[in-house]
Amino acid sequence: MTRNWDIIQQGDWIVIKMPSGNQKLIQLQPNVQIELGKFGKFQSSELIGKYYSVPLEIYDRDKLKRVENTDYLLDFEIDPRVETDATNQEIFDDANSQKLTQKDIEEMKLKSLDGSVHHQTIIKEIVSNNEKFNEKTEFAKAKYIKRKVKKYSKIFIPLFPNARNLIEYHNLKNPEKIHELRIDSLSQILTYANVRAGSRMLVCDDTGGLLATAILERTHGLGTCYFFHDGQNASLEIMKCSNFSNEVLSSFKTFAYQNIGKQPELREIEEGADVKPELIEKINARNANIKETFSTLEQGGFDSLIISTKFDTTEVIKKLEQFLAPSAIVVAYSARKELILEAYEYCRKSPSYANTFLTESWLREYQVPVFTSGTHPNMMMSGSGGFIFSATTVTTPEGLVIDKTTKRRKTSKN
Amino acid sequence: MTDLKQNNLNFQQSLEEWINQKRQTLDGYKRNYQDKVNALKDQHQSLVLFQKSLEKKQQQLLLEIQQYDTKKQDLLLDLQEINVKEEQQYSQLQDINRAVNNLQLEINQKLKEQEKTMILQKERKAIAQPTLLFYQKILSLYIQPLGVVGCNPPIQEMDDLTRELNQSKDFYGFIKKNPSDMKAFQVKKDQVFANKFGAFEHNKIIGKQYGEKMASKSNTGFIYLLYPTPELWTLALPHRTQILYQPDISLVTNMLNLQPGSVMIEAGTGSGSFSHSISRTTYPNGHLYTFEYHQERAQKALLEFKEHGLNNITVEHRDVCKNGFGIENKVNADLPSPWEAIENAKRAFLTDRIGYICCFSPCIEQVTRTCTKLKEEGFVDLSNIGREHNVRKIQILKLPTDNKSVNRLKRPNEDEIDGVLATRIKPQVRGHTSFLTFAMLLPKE
Repeated sequence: MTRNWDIIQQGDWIVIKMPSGNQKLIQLQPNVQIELGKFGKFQSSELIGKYYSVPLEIYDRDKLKRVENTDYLLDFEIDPRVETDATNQEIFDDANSQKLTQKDIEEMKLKSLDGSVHHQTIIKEIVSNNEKFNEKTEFAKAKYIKRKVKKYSKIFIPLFPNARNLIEYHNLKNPEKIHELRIDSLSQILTYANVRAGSRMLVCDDTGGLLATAILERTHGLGTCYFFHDGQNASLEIMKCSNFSNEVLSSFKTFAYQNIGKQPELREIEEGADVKPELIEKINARNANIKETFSTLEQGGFDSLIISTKFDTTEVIKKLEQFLAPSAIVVAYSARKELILEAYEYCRKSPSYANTFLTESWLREYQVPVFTSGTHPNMMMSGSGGFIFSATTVTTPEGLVIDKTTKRRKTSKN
Repeated sequence: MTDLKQNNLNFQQSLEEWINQKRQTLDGYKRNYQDKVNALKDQHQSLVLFQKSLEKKQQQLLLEIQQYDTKKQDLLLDLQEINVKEEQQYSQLQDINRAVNNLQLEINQKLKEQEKTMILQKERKAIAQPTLLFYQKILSLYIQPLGVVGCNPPIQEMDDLTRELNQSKDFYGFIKKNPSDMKAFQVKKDQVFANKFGAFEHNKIIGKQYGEKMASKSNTGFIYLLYPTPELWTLALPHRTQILYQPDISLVTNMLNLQPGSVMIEAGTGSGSFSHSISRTTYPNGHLYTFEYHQERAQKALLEFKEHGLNNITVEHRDVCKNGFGIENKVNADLPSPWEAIENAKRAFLTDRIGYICCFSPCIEQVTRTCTKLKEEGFVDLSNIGREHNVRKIQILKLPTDNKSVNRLKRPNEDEIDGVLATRIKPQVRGHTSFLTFAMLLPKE
């Protein structure tokens, strides 16, 4: 039975986008109350069977239902296209404009959490008790209501943890962890490396597995992905939140840097030892697995090497280039240009690389021009998406000598 | 006494006369009365006759009404029958449609599953075989007059899957200084490729490995033979229209969540730059439906996809703004007026999956119209990425620090001078390609 990946299921990881703009990453456990702080709480079982990306409203204390109309402005009949004479010339900043006291609002908030008061009622109350509201321009009214929605609404959106949403989530929480990757940089890394179903890749990813997640999404488990790490185990905190099936994960193998070039350590069974046959089988299977992992790596011929590492990029390339096939692609990413300059120089000068380039990408988001009379770039924009360096491996056959000094013979008159 | 008798006689006479007079008048009255009675009787008779005729007429009319009633009832019965038949037929049609849809879905699912298992089996087989067999396999597969290159064993495995992607077209970039020297061509027997670096015979290319450096005939220049990828094709393809470059392509791919198995509609094939990338990304079990309203371009695109062995693309010569699409769930609209295609696009989405749409517009006014239309059609989560991207090519210059001479060395031998690694950004960069507008169509309950 192929699963409809747009529907939430038990055990899924979900990124919850709250009205304030904050996000939360949870795993769907059975029979648990999921708390969203001031936005309310609900039973985890309510999420099962709902669609991803569809807004849900918390009502009746702990239940969820789908919201059809996500535009609050429609509920308040505000259309910024309408022209009015209102200006903010006479509107002064006065704390007494709002007739409701802090206490009243707090009471209403508690009632909203209880489920007895609808969140829209709170906002309507606040709006109607604001003396200056009707004097505002339509734009200002819309802005005011949007601010209240951010604070009091109980509508959230459950998102699927694919690479795009995980980047947004981690950008809010801890951008350094994902090396300040941006969605366009990540997508460029994937295309330059020609990541597709069936490709065989070496990945050096110290972002907690974000790159690996994006790669596995594009391969769906077809092909091979070797993930290099230091220490005993790979740190894959981000990848475990990505709802991959076992099929997809079967193509994913971790490998320690220190094991490159060495023989695999196999667990031997002493002859005549008193061990259960099932255990022997398990150990044999595990040994076979390890042998295969090592031998596949030794065979080489990989299509691409993708790097976003805490180590020195040049060293990583030098250590792993032996496993790449000719006409394979090396892609390295860093948030800081200086950290990959050396690698760029190394590849540019080396006869075994061609088509080396170093790029930076510029991305700017614009306000969505719906109802409003125009659009403009958002004030806060992303400062940088990091730097991407790419090179293609080439080989020179033995004995090939290019003699540039010989010029084409011209017909001479003598 | 006789006076009295005379008086009596006179009185009697006069009385008799009076009586006779009265009798006469009475008779007269009687006669009148009789006449009147007779007249009345005649009238009565005629009235009776009239009444009878009226009754007859009434009876006739009643009969007629009855007949009409029966006719009406008959017609009503007929109508009912017809209605019932219509309903039956309609429900039959619906049933048939449902059954057909279910069957199609089943078939699609089964096909997909089959394909997937087949590919997994293939892959496992490929890994299991020893090296020698690999080489034999390669030779027998690749000795063809077109596009023959020997490979390292693992590339063969990749080619097993992607040979269908890039079957017979060999690419080679001759990268001396810049990738703008990149050209793509097909390897054919007895042909020669000539460029500013020299002449290169196809016959000598056959049998080489991808990634190999190759000298020209006169040994004065060289080229690199590179494995074809959609990225290289984008840089080397013949422009029939303004194309999409890789930064745009890769961003749209991620924002539309394209993966193996995705089905995508491209409105506006153009020169096929984006189409190649989509085909590669959705391989093996996805599909691309691409539409181009310019007939010649559509035909050229079809040829190209065939030559390159891209079997998961369907090109259609069609004006999608006027005539709509067909099916499936991700849409990319790179048209002069994408808002015209949005209504049709909406119908193309599956109703139980999230639909993603991306619209390209170089001008901000087009963006405004697109966004308004998207909102009208019920798309949500609009985000506007001003693709004023500058992919800045950063070159490295080594800075010689020579305190003897003032003049900078024209061609410094980089290994001999002291220097630092430094970068600069090209003064002219491709600043703006298009505004990208992304939106989602949510699935119905």
